[in-house]
Amino acid sequence: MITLQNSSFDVHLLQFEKAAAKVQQQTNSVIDSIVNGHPKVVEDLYYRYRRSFGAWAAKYYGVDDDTAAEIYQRAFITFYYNIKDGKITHMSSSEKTYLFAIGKNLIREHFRLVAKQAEPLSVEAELGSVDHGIMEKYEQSHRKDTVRRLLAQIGEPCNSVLTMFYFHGMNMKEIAAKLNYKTEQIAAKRKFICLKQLRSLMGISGA
Amino acid sequence: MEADKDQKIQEYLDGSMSQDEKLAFEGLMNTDAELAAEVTELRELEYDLKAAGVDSFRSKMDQWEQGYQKNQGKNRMRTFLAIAASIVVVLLAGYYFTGQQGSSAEKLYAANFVPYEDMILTRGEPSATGSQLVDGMIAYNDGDYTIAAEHLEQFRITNPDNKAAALYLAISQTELGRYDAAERSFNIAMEDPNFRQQAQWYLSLMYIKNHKNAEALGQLQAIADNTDHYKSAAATELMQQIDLLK
Repeated sequence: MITLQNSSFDVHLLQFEKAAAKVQQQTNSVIDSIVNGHPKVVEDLYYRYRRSFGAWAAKYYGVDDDTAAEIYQRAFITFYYNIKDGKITHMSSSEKTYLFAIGKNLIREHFRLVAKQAEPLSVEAELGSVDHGIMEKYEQSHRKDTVRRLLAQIGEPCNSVLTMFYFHGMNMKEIAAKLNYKTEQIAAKRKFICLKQLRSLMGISGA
Repeated sequence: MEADKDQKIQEYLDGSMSQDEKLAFEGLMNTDAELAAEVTELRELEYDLKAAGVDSFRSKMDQWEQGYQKNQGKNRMRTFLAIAASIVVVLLAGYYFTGQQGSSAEKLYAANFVPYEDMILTRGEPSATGSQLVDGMIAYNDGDYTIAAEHLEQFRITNPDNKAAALYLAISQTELGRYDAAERSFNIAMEDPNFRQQAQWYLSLMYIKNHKNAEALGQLQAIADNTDHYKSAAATELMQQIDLLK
């Protein structure tokens, strides 16, 4: 009898472990896609949780549609750039749990609401390293408009290299493949040369 | 010499130096003000580029949000139109049900058809990460049933155990008038207890659209007889409307 119970328990444990491994694999695949700059995956991810985030924010925090949209975008951008900047390199839970946990912090931060029935999210402790103020930080950059204007003047291949890296989130390997550089090291060197060229243009423009 | 200096700056900015190399380079910057200024300027420039990149990403998200809102509006409008059409059908039943059998079936279908809500993407099921499924469901939500059917058919080939996808595929096939394929897909969806009732309801609507009233009535009777069925009352009402078609 005991053997049977153990056996049944083992089967359930195995199933649970398999399911957990599957979620882990899918989550890490999302991280890889963001790091490697796959725009379609990022767009799909945005749509995948948009509706459920709105419903969740309304149910637990009484947040209206417009506010939920704003908070979702801030949570999404935080999630995206924390992965892109290497602050999140792996996740022990699903990307949805992370995204919603960031959203929860942002709701609290901006609206000072007390959760009505918020369920505890186990990953919150892991979010200590997440930079929630990423948007505010970048919004304070005064020269970004000048940079954008000069990018239009810099010419090729610098325009493509810098745009692909900083705007489209592509890594050097993909940029090398796209622009026919033999190695990613050559692409990285080109990026650095372009950066210096942009710096010279900034000097000329007096920014 | 200049090339070597550039190489070092590049490695420092890219974060590809070892800890020892990094410390040595920072020591060099402490004694070389010109080098330190150059590194600072380049780092600030990278920061500005990142900031402009965040703006660009935000614009992209705004477009996605607009697409989402448009889709939501479309769904609300679709529901509204279905209800309005239902009222019109009931009010004008006498007119439509005399001598206009073919078009009445279409109208009866349109009046009762509301696309079943997306339970796959909205619930964030782990299985939703298959891109065929995601693309299919996004198209389904947009009312683009041709694209939805294409993606969902592909997804079903590689994921035959996913019966939920079969339901959305069947609904898409019904909308496209591919009735035989739709019937097969509905029967697969019925194998999943979570989607059996929905599959029964939409199968009966498909029969109505395909002018198979006897089959539709058989399905609807089974639904009406099951008082726990979420469409039990609606099935009874729909059977009465079909009777008016005769």
